[in-house]
Amino acid sequence: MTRSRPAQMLRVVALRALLVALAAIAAGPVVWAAFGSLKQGRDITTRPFALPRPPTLRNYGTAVEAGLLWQWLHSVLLTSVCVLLVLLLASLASYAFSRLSFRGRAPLRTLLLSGMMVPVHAVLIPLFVAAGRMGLAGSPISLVGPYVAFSLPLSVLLLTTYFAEVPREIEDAARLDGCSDLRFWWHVLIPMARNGLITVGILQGVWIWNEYPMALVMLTRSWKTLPVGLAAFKGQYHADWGAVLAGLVIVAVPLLALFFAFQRWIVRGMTAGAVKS
Amino acid sequence: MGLTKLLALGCAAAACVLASTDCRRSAPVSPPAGAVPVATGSGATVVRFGSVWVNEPRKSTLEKVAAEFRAQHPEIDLRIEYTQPDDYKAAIRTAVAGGDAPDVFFVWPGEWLRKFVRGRQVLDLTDELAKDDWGGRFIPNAKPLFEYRGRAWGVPMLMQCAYFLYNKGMFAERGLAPPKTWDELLEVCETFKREGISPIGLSNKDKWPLHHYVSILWQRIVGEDRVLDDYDTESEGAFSDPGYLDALRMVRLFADRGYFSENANGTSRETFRQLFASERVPIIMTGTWDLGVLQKSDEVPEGFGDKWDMFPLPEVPGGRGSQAYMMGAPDGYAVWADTKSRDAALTWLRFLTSPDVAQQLVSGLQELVCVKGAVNEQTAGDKLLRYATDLEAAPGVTPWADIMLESSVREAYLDSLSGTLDGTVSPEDVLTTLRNAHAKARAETGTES
Amino acid sequence: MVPYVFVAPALLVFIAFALIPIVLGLCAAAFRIDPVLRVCEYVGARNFATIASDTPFRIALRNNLLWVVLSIGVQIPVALLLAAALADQSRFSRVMRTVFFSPLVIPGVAIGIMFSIVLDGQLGALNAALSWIQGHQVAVGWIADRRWALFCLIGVACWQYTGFHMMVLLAGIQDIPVELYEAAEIDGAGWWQRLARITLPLLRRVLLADMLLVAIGSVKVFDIVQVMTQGGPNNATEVLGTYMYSQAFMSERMGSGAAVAVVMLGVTLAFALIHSRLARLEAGAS
Repeated sequence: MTRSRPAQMLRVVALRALLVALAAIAAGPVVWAAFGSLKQGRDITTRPFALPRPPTLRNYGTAVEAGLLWQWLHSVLLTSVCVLLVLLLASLASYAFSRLSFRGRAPLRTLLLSGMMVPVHAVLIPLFVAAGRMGLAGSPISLVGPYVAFSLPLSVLLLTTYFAEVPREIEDAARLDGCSDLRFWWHVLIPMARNGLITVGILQGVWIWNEYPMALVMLTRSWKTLPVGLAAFKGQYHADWGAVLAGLVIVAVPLLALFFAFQRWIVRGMTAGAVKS
Repeated sequence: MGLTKLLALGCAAAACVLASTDCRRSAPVSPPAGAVPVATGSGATVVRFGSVWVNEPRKSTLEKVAAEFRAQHPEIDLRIEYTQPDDYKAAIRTAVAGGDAPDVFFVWPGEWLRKFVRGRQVLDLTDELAKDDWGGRFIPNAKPLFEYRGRAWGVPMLMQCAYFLYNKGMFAERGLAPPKTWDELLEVCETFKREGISPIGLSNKDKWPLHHYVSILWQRIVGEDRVLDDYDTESEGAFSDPGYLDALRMVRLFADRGYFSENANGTSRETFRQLFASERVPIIMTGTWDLGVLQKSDEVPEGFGDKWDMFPLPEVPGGRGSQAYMMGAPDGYAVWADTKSRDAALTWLRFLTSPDVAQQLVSGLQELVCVKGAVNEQTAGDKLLRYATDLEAAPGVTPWADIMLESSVREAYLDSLSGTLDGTVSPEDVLTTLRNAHAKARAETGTES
Repeated sequence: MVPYVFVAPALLVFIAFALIPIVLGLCAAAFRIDPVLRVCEYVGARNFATIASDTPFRIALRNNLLWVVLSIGVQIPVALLLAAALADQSRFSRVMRTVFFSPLVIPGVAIGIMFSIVLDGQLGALNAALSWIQGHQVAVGWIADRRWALFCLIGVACWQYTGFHMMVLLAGIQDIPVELYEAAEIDGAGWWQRLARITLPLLRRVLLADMLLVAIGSVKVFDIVQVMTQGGPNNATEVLGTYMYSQAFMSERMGSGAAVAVVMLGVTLAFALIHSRLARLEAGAS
């Protein structure tokens, strides 16, 4: 039973309208927050849906004064260091898991992958006590180890899939040329699996950037990552909604901008690698 | 971008992380105090000061005092670390547990401080206080809670006392006088309630405000010594007096009759002050910490300070406690046991509690500094002066339960008590919860050295 | 020899910073640990007994299970609808997909803060909007009202993660050969029928995996609850994550906190087992 064209078009339009409505719900709060951050004090509560008149940057001043920009820097540094370490360690290990055969390969792989199940809460207390004993209490260095360690299972999983896809012929050719394992890994495998590396880097980078419970427990001094800093900022300025929204925008908008710029990679990476396994 | 370049960037980033954890001398924008410690010349002894004075006017007053101190003591690098009071409890414990506590840090006295003492985490200050009669500077009523096992472990700074504040106009319009007993208070509330006005503003989102009502009733009904004994996990007391239940029932009565403002469990402190400042509720119970804000600040209209007055906490005729006791507790500072800058830390603490600085603090904060003579006609407004005079005249001060109860007991008690407001937890259940938690804590204390 | 050199760095870091802490963390559940008091004594199963008899723990457990059920019930169908509707490569679809995925990029903390302002009982934007629509003042407590708080939080979580699951299901849909759809269209099957007869059956394995992801995420939830309600009002929104934090860092009972972590791990493993059992059934059937 074929439907008549007008009816079909109506269904398409209705479906699109529904989708747009849902998208409005998805994007609405952030857009509202962005506009709200430009409003003066009470206007957010008294005229929540009006445009800011006149728009003011005072709230951003408050947020910057409270140190949010520093925390931004902290997050950037910590995330970059951790992501680089993850990519390094995971790609080394994934090469071995995907293309070399050795005794204990399967059990070691399972051991690594099992880490994906464990909630980060399970390790909060021992890590916190250990950091104290080692004199690293409150220091961001205490977070590097755990962040890298907890990123490894998923990264190894994804990268193994990517590496396995590199054709056998290329490897054979490289071996014939006298390529050692390490050189093959660095000169051939890494460039070929660049998409996979970027995807993994982005996935883990986002997770580390947004991570809250571990950072909350471990970072007790003034060196804070953005999620912890933002929560503290809200705690102190919770009456000043303008400032809080400005802080929010500082946190969310750059990430969103980066995301929209790189969304092609992320989407492709997610659909290609993430679910195949 | 080649991978080699990426690696180089990574190494640079790593170097930056390592560098940024300790030194920020090349900051292009001057970082705010608290986000980043102020770096001075090397060679100075660092003293880290953990403070909860994040709000105004406390913060700027403290900053002025700190600036004076730094000018007088260039050999000491004073770094103030600010934390919200509610976050502070967890943060300072984490810091102490992690071996990374500030040299001088804010403490609440009572059980809160005692735990640090039992864990040998704070310095015994008894001998220091005896030198130059440092200890003699403080108001006598403020010192006992900092003492434990015969020694002194901290110094008091601000005395926090609670009173009822009432709107003079709203009372006068109905020919009401400030109530002297709790029963009279009930009548006053009923008068307002009949007109559809919520009589008492309450914000219990942080869980501790409601228990102040219970704490004073416990003291009035059961008696101050008995109450202190029961709070203590090291003694035999176990909240067995029937007066405890009576007090809980009384508070439940207020809740049931709708005398508290709506949805108190979800009301923030700002909204709570707004309710009073916009004259929507005639009565609130609050303490010296709100005195300044409610007289003159951004939150209240011009001249609002003249519109309200205070009445002391009502009496319970026939109660076993002294009906003239005030309710409150000092807060203060202790010195970390593992501090590497002991002398410098003590220098700062002596400076902070010196008579001149104390008077500066009173003028700036309009709060009760525990140094004798700090609150006087020159420094204090008349409302603060009244607190100070009453404090001097009072036979004693009963502390609120949450600083006297062990952590897990406090959490369990406050959690279940908040259920009284919407009727989900009965007074009997609150008391049972308290007793059970207390018993557990007592059992554990018995196993410590 | 060589393969081990490649695997060693990752494995060592994992063992040192994840595996050993996990084991220690689970063992901590059998101790009474109080760093301030410098206490670390063995207490056997007492911590488990303590939390089992604690009402907030039972509330937390119930809340997490409710969270799992409602999240699966809301996120999966919506994600499926979105994935099916946006599976093509048109510009509209690509833009829409990006929009729906974007909440994932924002830290949970920021999302929690944003919604706690929108949902504020007194002055929030949602109440303002409802008041405008209804014509009179609407002042629902939302997250301050113990009847609605948990559902509001679950709603926020759905807002945050539905886009992610849309992507997961989308990947699965893209595996389905286009010819099947074309054949069905020729046979006259409508959009809905194509979804029900082709997409759903072939997507079963992916759907099952995705449900497991939703379930695990619902057990681990912490950020938005901690920021928006801290488990309140009066424990109404307590979840295992916040309960663990409050036991360990507010009540200073780290051993009990570790016991809660053990429970979280147990529940996660239980879901994984259920999934594995169902997946095997599904593989056997097809």
